[in-house]
Amino acid sequence: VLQYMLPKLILQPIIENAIIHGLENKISPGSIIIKVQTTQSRLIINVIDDGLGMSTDVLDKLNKKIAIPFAVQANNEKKGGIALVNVNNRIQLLCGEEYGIRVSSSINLGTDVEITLPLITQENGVDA
Amino acid sequence: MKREILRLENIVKKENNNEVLSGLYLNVFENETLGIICGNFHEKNGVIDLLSGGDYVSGRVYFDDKRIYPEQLRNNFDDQVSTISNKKTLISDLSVAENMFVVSKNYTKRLINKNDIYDKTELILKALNIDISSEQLVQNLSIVEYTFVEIAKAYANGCCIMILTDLSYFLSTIEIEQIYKKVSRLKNFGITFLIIEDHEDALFKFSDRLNVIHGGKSIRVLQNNNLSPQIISKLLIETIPEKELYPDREIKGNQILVFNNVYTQKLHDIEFTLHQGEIINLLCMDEVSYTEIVDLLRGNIKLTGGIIKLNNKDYTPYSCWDSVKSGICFISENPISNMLFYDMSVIDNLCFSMGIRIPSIWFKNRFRKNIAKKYSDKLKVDVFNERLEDLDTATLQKLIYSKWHLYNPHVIVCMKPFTTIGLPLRSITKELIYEYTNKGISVLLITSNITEAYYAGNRVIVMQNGRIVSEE
Repeated sequence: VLQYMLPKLILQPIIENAIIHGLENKISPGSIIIKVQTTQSRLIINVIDDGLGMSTDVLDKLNKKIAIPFAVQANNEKKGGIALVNVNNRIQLLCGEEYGIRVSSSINLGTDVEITLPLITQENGVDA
Repeated sequence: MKREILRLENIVKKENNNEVLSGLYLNVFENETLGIICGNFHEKNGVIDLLSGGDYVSGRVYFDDKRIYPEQLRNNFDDQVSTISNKKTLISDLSVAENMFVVSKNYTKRLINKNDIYDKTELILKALNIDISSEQLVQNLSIVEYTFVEIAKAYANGCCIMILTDLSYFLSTIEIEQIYKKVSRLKNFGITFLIIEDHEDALFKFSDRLNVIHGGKSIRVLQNNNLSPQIISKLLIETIPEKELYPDREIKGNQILVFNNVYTQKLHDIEFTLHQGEIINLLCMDEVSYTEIVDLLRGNIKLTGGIIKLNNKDYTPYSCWDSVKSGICFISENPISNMLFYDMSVIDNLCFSMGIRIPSIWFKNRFRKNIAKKYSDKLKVDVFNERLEDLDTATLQKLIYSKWHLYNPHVIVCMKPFTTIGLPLRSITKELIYEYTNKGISVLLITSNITEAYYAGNRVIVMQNGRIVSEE
């Protein structure tokens, strides 16, 4: 997978979120797994932490916020969860609507953020 | 690089105007075994229907990285996806070869060249290491062999995704192991397997990844090394408080059901005693033991030797209705489909069995009002006016178990009570069974699944070939 490229500042905010919201307040030791795999046309990156996770309500609100297209987001909707929304918007503006991020989480079991991108190489740009 | 065979994104699916899937994500890679566990059977049926080419409201489906639109779904999935379940798909009067090649939409020849299809079948069965003759009639196959032939037929027809579901409903644990061992080999032939089961044991043992679906959404994808029953329980049963329902206790009640040297044509020297308020698990390792013991208790077959005593009286029912009158009641497999009258009200369903004891119950509102008062808190519904179609599965399950709770027999026989239900409903069912024992009713759980046999209760009696082979 090392041949493939990704837009800048995609991973950093997500890992920072995993540390601040997932692991920092956890009493026992925590871990973050970053899994990268490719399919025929996609690069899939999973950032999985075993931290505090979030409740179904909070998760639903976050996923709804992520799902709202950038153009129709009102100013007040940009507050809270801004890093994930920003990453998703940038991916979709650069690569298309079928790419982006998806969050799944369960309270006390951790959070899994899946980032999907097209296969981009140095030579070809988008390689799909 | 992993080849992605199937991808479902944000799928919303409705059934009878109710949303059964509301944001399903699923991706399936080539040569893997993906387990799917759902919170309830509506979600499970929704997923199976969708993967069989059923309709959906919104979302995106990709097959081999190409977008498939709703109108193309049925055609694409018909050719590529095959479902192996308790629904029989083979014709019993035809041979294995005829079922595999002639009863197939891919067979376009006008005349059947028997030698050709028998040779082809032999080749496929040999390649898949299935030891069955291609000339054998399907009606002579055992259940495991039947399932092997269904798998071989799907392979012969060029399917690349096989869905295995509800195998625990008709196969014993040993038979399921045989099937999944074969499945592990078949992955080398480019087939991807989806296991959709309610029981974690098969999912944990044989899945490479497990997709957990709850509330109509994919809530987690777990890798095989991350699977544990505790994590699944936390994911699926977050709303049910964990409490000790049935602490280990010594059973010292009266002897309620006594099997003393019982013989039938297929049962041999069956001997056990069920005490008041006790739960015994009867684990039948083969179909013969299972059907014979159920038929005997229901009065469908007669004893050829020995004696059965129920509450110190000889138990020789001549029909199922007679066994209910004597004090043994039954909760059949998949009771939500089989044991409720959907055109009757909740209170009428509750009172139905009590009509045996109090025939005037249908005319005396006093009785019915008392029963309604007692059970409306438990069921949390308006028992007089609520329609059964509008109730959720948990309430329907409570209604079924409440029927016999009200009737208060000596023994309740539950047949595979945890087999066809999701994890949340399983916890509720366990609680309902313990309510029986707290009331002093004895419970006999009959199953062919090892995990199910250890899920509730005190003792496990293992039966094989019509004999008791061990007792724990």
